[in-house]
Amino acid sequence: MQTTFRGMLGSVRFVRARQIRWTMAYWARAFGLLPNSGKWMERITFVYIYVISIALLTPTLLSLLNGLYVTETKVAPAARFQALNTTLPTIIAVASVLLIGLPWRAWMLRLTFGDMVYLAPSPFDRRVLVLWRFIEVCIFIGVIGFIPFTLLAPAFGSIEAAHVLPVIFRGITALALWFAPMLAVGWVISLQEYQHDGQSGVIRWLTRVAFAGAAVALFALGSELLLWPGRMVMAIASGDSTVWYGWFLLIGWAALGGFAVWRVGRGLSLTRAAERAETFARIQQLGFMIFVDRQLLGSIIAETRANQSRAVGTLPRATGIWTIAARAFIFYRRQYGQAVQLVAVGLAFGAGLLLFNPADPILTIFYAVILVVVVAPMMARVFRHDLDVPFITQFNLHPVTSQIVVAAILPALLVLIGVLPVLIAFWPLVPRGGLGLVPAVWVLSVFGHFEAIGKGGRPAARSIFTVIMGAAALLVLVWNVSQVGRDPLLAALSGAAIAGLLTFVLLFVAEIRRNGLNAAQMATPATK
Amino acid sequence: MSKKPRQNAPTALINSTEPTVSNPPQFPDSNRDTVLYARGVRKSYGAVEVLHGVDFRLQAGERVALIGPNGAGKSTLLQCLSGWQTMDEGEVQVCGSDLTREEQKARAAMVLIPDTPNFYQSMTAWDHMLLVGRFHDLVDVEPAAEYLLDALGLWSVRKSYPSTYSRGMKYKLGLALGLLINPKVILLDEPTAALDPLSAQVLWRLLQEFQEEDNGAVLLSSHQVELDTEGIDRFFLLLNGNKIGDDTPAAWIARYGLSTGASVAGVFRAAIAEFTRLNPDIAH
Repeated sequence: MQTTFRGMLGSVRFVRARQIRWTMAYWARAFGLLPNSGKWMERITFVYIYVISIALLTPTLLSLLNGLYVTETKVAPAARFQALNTTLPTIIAVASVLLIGLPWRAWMLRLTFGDMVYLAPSPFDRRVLVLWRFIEVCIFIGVIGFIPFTLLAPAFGSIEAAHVLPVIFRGITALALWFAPMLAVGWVISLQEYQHDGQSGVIRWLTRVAFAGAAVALFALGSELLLWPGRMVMAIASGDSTVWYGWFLLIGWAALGGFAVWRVGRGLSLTRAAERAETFARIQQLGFMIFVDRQLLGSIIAETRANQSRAVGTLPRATGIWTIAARAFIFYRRQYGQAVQLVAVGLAFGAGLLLFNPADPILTIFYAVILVVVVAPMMARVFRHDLDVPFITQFNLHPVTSQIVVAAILPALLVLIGVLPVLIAFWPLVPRGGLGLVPAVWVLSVFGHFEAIGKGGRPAARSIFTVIMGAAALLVLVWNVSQVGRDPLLAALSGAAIAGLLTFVLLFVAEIRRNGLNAAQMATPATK
Repeated sequence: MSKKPRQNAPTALINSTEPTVSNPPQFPDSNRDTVLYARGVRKSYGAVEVLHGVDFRLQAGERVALIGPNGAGKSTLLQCLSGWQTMDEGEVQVCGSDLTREEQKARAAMVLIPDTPNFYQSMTAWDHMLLVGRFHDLVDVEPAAEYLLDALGLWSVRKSYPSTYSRGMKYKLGLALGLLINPKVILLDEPTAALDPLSAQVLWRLLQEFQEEDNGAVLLSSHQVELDTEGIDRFFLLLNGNKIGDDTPAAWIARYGLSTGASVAGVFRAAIAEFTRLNPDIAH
């Protein structure tokens, strides 16, 4: 029985060591090292390549950093202070609020299935597990703080590069110490869900709303109080002796935060924690597959979120082929985050239209490829996922071409919801013929759905061929814009006509991809 | 649960609690229509051929058990027959429609329920029932869907996502979806493997109704059936991707000289011995 503190610590160390080993293997695989391959020469070769690459990059990075330092030291001290005083405290204030808020949706206690089996019957004190993880996160925050403090160190008053190191270390330590109590508040609220006598959902939500309200109120008041912690961190980082009490305050609060987490950890139910950690465990179980199949990862996360929530609404009434649109509607209604993503894509697309310059061919091709690679699959996510469920798909007897057209409607509308307000609000800035590119939204949606169709109706893997085809389709629209005059209506109409033509081509190729060349030459199967 | 009026519901099923005793096996019956016909079905995974030119025939109202040891190719055959997998060679016809050339017409008459059905994301069981019914333009989907979910014990969880279901519940939902559209042929892969005994009883009952009232045909692969399992007309034995035979229980017993009441395992043993003797090179 591991009832002593040392024994408990040993248990946690055991669990974490396994997870660290897994994480290292994960990143090793990400960089092509394949730790389980058993080929030492291969691993050594990879390490050699990375060492050489880092060695070649380091002088460049140091040179860039030096250039930045020189620039920073040239700025007048008053201006530097002013710049830091207005930006950093605000960033730290926002980050503090996020640290309170983010644990609500995170898998705070990351447990693998193996950990669950090991820990569940274990008698050790749960507080150790919680405190250990809390300290890890605090240290991680300090590590993240390393980058901004490295970049800004001379702005704190260190003229010589050699003097920036104390600034960096003071800065990241102070930052981690300040964020510790903030994180503790988030953890204390979030850990209520893991308690043996867990709070009811209503109380939990009321707590969240109260905290969100308090955060909004603080921001609305523009309170100096909110910026004060950031200013203190800045003063400590720059070695200001007038804030001698700063370290005591920060260490005291951090200790208080740790104590609060320790206290809450007492009532932790590992059963509840294991339930909440199940998604992480499932992802961890995938191992290398999460690199190969990102869709699988997304579907696990989406499924977990869906299972945790109540199903809202029901399938809208529709018949025949329109049932596909109804299915897409209920998906976006229940997973509204995905719908919001598409609207955000529309906003970005609209902003891109304002800046668009067809005279720059390299940039145009770059934009086209990015849209085809990133946006098109996002628009066809539901369709592609559904194709991967042959049991239900077998009931859908409609021709593949009709399916693509109907399924493409809702994602296109969601993106247009984002595009149109931007164009209306900034109408004077819309470039010549810009409206002719709006139909590209439809082409992208159809292309994404077309690309998902594989032989026999199963989802197809993406290929360079289809990416080139999609980019070419968008470039046809760009070419059209460069040909029409300044008349926005003419641009829009010709763009729509070309989009229709491109849709027809994509549907024809989709039929070939699914059924082969002979089938495409025949009439649609439903009419035979 | 309050019982709502059920339109479309087979009334005999509501009052029936026990499976009815089946008629004596009838095969071949020239009066029945052939609803599923396969000839020379070949399928390979890479260099390994798993189906070696399998022939098969299923007639309306029949129930045939597809049996064979693990790895015999049963699931692959079901997937090829249903069009889920493309064949390398061969021909499959469903109610007279060629599965390759008239795919949608053929598939409209047939449903495959795999051993663990998957479902669409963010759709409840009820949504799935409505979706499938509307895909097929069925009128009065709701009463039929309600009846099937109730019969299979899923009514109370109809508003839950199938991803929260156990394997057995998923299979029952799959069966409800399959029966909802009233196909001509249902292919079932390991239907009873995940079901509790009561649910298995309901399954047999629903299949019986499907055969008797709708003249539907059933092909099921299972390790849980025996030669004396009620309602099964024929046993189709697959071994190493080869069709060994397609006979009534009595014919199997007679073929291998087994005692009355012999088990499926006994048929396997005799068939493997015969196959090894006749094909010494490929038997290994």
